[in-house]
Amino acid sequence: MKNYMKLMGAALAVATLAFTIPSPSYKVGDETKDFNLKNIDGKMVSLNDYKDAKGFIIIFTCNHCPFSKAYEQRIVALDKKYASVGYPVIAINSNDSATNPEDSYGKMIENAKEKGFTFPYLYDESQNIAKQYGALKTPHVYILKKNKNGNKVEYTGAIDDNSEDASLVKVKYVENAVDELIAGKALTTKETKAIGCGVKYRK
Amino acid sequence: MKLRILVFLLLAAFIANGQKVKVMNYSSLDSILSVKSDSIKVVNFWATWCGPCIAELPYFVKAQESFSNNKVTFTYVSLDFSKEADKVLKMAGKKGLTGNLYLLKDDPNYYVRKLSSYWEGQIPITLIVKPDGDYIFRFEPFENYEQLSSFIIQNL
Repeated sequence: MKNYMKLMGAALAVATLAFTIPSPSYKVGDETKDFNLKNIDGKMVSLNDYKDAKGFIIIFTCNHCPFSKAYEQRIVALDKKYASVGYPVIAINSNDSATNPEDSYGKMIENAKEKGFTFPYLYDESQNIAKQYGALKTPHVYILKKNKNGNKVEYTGAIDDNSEDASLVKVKYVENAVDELIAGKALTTKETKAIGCGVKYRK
Repeated sequence: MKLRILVFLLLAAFIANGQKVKVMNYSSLDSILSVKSDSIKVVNFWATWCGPCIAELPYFVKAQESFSNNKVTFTYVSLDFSKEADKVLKMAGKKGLTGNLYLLKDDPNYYVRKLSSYWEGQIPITLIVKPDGDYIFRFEPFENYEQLSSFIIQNL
């Protein structure tokens, strides 16, 4: 019984431990703060640089994660389809390269070249932007729409409904959302849940 | 030839272990979890690519032994791609998982919501299904065996 009480005490202590994964900070409808992050070409990138954009497809991703890899060509396709109509893709890697050496800045440059990334691939070394957004996994999408004050979150979640096989996708969540934004329609789906690799936050 | 021997050895290992990975959709998993039982079901959601998931598997192996006299069953639900089922089986064998092995193949946006409105899709998560059908969740990895054993004991 005494042991049992001890275990209960330990369990309570566990339950009160701080939650290590940040809960989503930006929700649909939130205004976002701009960022200034280093791109793979060494230049700094901010959303404010994109004077002609109507919005953005922000994607937290990385090199090592099988889900990120599975989506690389689909992300390239999204950028090709939507950058020219005002919704460019901006990819951000926030992973701690100490946890995953494959996610270092140097490897980002190699990966982007190898996979033919057409979009900025930014390095969030301080992890502050992932925390600001509440990015939980890779890939994790935030679609923003520009307004006179800045950029508002219109959609968060997954790219589509089949990470394993692009040919079996039934619902393209991101494409549908951007199409509806461009058409000035209300979004059918504003939020989806996804499985992915957890963003590797430093402890 | 070398490959053939390797395949044979792998197969032999799987057969010796008697384990299989059953690929299923969420509704099948849900029916299995809903089966009435006087045991509690400890259900761990993991994947071979997930570092924190692999790190906590030894605690589950220890719990499988420690709670073998109690009414506790262990189920491991892999969220790997279905084409990786062999990899899942290999990892389960290497780590010594003896419980039920499933691979969930479905739209996460559907099953993540269905399982719990508090789940954001991160893994590992662990769920205890109590005999009365209640679900008790842990949305974080276990950092040591004691955390897992107290989670189980609390719900025995």
